[in-house]
Amino acid sequence: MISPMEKLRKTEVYKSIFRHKYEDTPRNRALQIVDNVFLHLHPVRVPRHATNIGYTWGMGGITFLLFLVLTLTGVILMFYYRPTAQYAYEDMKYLMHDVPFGPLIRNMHRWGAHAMVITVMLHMFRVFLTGSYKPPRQFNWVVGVVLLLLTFLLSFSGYLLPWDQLSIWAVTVGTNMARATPLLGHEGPFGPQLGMRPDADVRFVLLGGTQVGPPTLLRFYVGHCIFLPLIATIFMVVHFWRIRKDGGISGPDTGKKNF
Amino acid sequence: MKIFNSALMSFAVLSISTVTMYAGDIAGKISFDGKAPAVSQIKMNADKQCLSMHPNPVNSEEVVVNGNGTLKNVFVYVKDGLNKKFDVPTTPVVLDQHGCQYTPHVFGVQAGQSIEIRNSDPLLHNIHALPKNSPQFNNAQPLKGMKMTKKFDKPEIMVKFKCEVHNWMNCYAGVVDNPFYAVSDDKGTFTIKGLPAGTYTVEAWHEKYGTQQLKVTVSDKGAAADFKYAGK
Amino acid sequence: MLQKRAETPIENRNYSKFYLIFSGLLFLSTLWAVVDEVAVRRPWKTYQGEYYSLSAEKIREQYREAMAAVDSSAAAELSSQLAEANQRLESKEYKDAVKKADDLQLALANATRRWSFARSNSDAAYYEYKTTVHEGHPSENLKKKLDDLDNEIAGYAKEMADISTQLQFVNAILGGYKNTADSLDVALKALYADAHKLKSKFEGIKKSSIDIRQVLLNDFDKSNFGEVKARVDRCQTCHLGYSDKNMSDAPQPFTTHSNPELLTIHNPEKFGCTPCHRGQGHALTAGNAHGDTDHYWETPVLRGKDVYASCNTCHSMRQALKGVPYFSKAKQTLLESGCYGCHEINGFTNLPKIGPQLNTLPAKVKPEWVYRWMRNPKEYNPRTRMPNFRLSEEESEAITAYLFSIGQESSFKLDRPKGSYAGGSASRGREIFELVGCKGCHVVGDDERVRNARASSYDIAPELTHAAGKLNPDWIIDWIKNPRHYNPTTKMPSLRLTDQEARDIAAFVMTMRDDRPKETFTGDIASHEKIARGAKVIREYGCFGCHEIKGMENESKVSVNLSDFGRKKVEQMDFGDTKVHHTWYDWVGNKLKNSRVFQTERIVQKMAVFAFSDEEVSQLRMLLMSFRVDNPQPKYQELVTQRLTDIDAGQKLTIRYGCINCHQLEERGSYFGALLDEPAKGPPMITIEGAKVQEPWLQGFLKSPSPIRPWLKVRMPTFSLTEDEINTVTKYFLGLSKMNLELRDYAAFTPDPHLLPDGKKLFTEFQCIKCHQLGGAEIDPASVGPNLELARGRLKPEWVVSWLKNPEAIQPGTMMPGYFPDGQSPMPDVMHGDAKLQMEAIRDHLFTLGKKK
Repeated sequence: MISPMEKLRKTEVYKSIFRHKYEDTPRNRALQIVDNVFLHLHPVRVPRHATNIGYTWGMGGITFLLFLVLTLTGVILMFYYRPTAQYAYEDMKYLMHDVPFGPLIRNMHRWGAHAMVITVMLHMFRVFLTGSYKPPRQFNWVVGVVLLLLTFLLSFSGYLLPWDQLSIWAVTVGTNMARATPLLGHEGPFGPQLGMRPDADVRFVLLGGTQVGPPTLLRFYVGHCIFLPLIATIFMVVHFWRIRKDGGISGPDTGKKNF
Repeated sequence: MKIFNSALMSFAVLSISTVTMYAGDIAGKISFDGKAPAVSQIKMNADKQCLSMHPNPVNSEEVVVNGNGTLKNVFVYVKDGLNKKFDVPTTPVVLDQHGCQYTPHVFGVQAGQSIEIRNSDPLLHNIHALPKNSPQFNNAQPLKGMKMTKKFDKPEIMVKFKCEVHNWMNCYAGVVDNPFYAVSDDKGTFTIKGLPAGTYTVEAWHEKYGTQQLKVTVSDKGAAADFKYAGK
Repeated sequence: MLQKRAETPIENRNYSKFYLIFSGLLFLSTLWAVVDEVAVRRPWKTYQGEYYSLSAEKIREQYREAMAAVDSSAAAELSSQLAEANQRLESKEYKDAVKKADDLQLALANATRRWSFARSNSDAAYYEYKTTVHEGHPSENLKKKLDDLDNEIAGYAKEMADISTQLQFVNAILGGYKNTADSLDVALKALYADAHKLKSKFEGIKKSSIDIRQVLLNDFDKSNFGEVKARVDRCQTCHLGYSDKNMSDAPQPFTTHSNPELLTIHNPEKFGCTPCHRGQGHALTAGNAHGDTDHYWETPVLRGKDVYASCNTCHSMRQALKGVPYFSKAKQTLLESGCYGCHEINGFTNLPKIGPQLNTLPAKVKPEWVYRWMRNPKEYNPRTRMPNFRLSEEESEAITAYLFSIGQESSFKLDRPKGSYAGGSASRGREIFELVGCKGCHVVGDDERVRNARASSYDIAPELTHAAGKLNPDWIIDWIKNPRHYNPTTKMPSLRLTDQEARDIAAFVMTMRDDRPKETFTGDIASHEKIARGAKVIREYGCFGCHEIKGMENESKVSVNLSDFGRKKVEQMDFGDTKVHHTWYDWVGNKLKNSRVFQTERIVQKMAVFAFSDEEVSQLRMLLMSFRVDNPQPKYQELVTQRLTDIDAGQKLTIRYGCINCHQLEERGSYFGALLDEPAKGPPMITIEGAKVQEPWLQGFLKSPSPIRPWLKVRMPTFSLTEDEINTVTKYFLGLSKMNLELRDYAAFTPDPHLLPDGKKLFTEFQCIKCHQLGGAEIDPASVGPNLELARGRLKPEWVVSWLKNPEAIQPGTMMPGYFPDGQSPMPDVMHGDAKLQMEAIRDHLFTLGKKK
């Protein structure tokens, strides 16, 4: 007698969704991971030391988890937020007072952002302290630093979005530094010589004007929601790929050289 | 023997007093000590018609000391102790203008009760009432026989009435929210009838000599309340 | 434990406990988040529930009362009648009638059907017949058929008519039964109508939904970038009872809004709540909405009387608001204290300086007096408006020197030779002083009645109790005969005193000695350094803000602009060394009470110290709270019409010249009335002057007053107003009466000759002359009413009619009696008792009096 489950597994629909068999064989186990677009990030097999969370504390993973949380909560927030000077602050207020679970989502996003910066730094410290930047992982370290920078930029651009006094002045102070950029800022070394003016330099590009104003808000919003996350994704993809390629998650020194 | 006589006397006095007083009334006398002020005359020269109505001199009604050393026109009323609402009587109190004077000079009325104001003189009078708790009014009655009905909605001690045409004319109304009030007559006595048993604060008001209060306990046999005013 | 962990191979290490605990925590916190979101974080849901049950309870109470109030005997009567009527509906006759009606209906339907079929057949037959006619061979058969059918139709029609008649008859019987029952039912229901309404009301409340209530005000605010944006008010979500009359003794947040008349003008459905009460409109918890827990909200809710500050955001043009004396007094205090002399304030520009000119002091006072005044004005006159600048001896000496130096340069000389004051009687002077009206502005001795009636911490004219220590009698004569000689912009008027009266008053004033202990002054005021130093000190302290001083006519205001002071950040306020609570509120309160309170050794403050009472401090603080430039968009503000501008100018002028000291004007004034036992016997209420008097007369009167009311001993002073000022007053009065300034030829008013005989008759019957003077150039002190001959040239004809109609309504407490109670005439046989016509007749007769024939 064939059980119903057996019958199900023989149907074309089932076979179309689940491309591998179900029996518990090493091959099927490997196929579960390799055949899945989400899971094939992980190696099929991991070395023993990879299961020792005490070695890495999973900070990189936690950072990535936080990134996903931030993306999800960010998308939910986007349903209620309009990046114009007329509405930004009001919409933030509505989220806080009106929208069901509004404060929860907003706070998760905000605290998640702070937590992500902290975990990113912890991850960086860990990598440094375990020497996981040494050959062949030098390039990955650089990619990581770029990701750090992107994290900071995401925080900075997100800070403007509530459009309150803190936001505007923080961004004013931050972007004021931009005008002192060498070659690109109108108050930086060799900047004026290259034709940089207050209304035509890198700060102007950042702000969309000579002062923080409605164009800045829109610009920062697009950067925060689309541009920077896209760049960060690309870099993360490279970062994770290089982890795999450079020998997997770092572990204790085994004496063997990996390259 | 002496004891028997005094006992008989006190019994007689008691029985007389219980016979003369009704159950549940407050009766009393307003006595006036001291020198009565000089009687001032009202000069009605401003209006010849008024003057012609009074061949004999007319005295001011501000202070009227009766022959028996009592004070007339003292308004006595129950100020405290009643915790009921009383129905407003439908019959009006009558205030008459006669001989260029108000009659009566002092009267009581319940809040909400009508006051019928009549002009019994063949000349112009105006009635200007100056209450503080109710709306004022000032109306003219140029013809004899004219009648006007007014009322005061809120209690007030006392509402003054005056006439602008004849500036000696005035009278006072005590507006209360219960029917227990009286005005002392030309013997200086007053009676407030029909009070339920209890303890009350009774106040007496005089136009010149002000107010006095007494705590009175009324039983089925009634109670006495005597006020003393002194002239200066 | 850690050792055990170290012994276990890595891949065997079991983390399930951690996962369990943390997932449990996560689950619990999710649960908490949901519960918090749905219930805990939404206290307004609880409030709404409470409100509904409270409201339902109250209405249930009212329902019980209404049921109890139903006349039980009438109800019982009607019920029994209704029962009877219903009984009869069960009777055989009724049932038979019903059956009969049904049968007749059926018969009628059948008959109607037969009739309409016949008609259709007839139409068909007609067609066929007519076809033959048209074809030229009319058919006899068909014609016969047609005629038969028509007869049938007639027969059926008759049948129908018969049945209908019968049916009508039966229906009438039925109706008889049914209508009685129905009308009784209706009557019974009517008895309980109120009760049932209440019942359905409280049942409806039980079904009310729990929702957020909000009012959206589009285009109300402007963001900091100048963009117009909306405002949302959700206060009504918790404050549900604001318009519910049953909730007047309910606890907050359900209490009925006080002052419901105000709400009819400022309907919260249209205006929201935060424009008046401030607060965070879109918040839904008390702490956030009131700004108590959300400390970053810049406009927390206004409590108590501070709510009146919001009036100024839309009604900044008004100096007084009907029904809000707190607000009106605040503005009056600001105008009278002259804050605008040092501070620029929107809405208080182009106002005259409130102090006297200081260019001609030597004629009036001695240097010692000026020195002492500089040191502390309140030593000489505790109630002066001049605040105390706490000047040092050196500064006071310097200022005295400067003022006397410019004084000596001036060419001012008194109008009369020295010694002209001699021959006055002090006792006579006191009598004149008491009677003529000086006491409306000046206090002498212990009589504080007018001062108390005014209820300000200052007097608006100097107290004269020690005037002899300041003034000299030559100057006094010059001053009271013609104040504008010494001070061309003074508000002191002339009382048209005769020379002897002036001498008497001067003698009286000179008996007001100043024997109090005083600071001695031995300074040298002629030295050039002192004079130069004086000019410097004056410029530093800004005396020219209140006083005209030679050489300093064009100086700008010496202190900060207060037009946006309501939004000043507490972080920008200096609290000195004090322990005052760090809020805007406390800083301002302390500063107004004592301007130098926040002074330290390094930060010296120059604002003079006023002596405001606590009430005045609260009022001025409320006003300062209202000084903001982020007012709502113009479409929400009061439209500034010409009328409002005229009223505003008039109010400022009448406050300045002190009209309100003697006269009641709008809702304030008549402080002089405190001196009289009957305020109606004092200066008249002038709010109605615009509707009452002819404009040319008013202007003439203001230029040169003459007595009108015989009993009035007080004199209307001559204010020497300019043409512009007289026009301002005229337009002010007209504006108050909602009228425009028009050119009218009052002389052209002709009394209607048809009305005159009756008018004269009524005039005689009403015996007007028993009170009113008629004719005569002099005032007759025995009469109680003004000379009626003045009416023609003084009063507006329309106004006389309204006056006759109801004097008490126009001027409460007036001595003029009403002849037409409830609009009814006391003489119904004259002019058919038409009250309006009678009034016009009297008016027309009045306007003939005194006319030269």
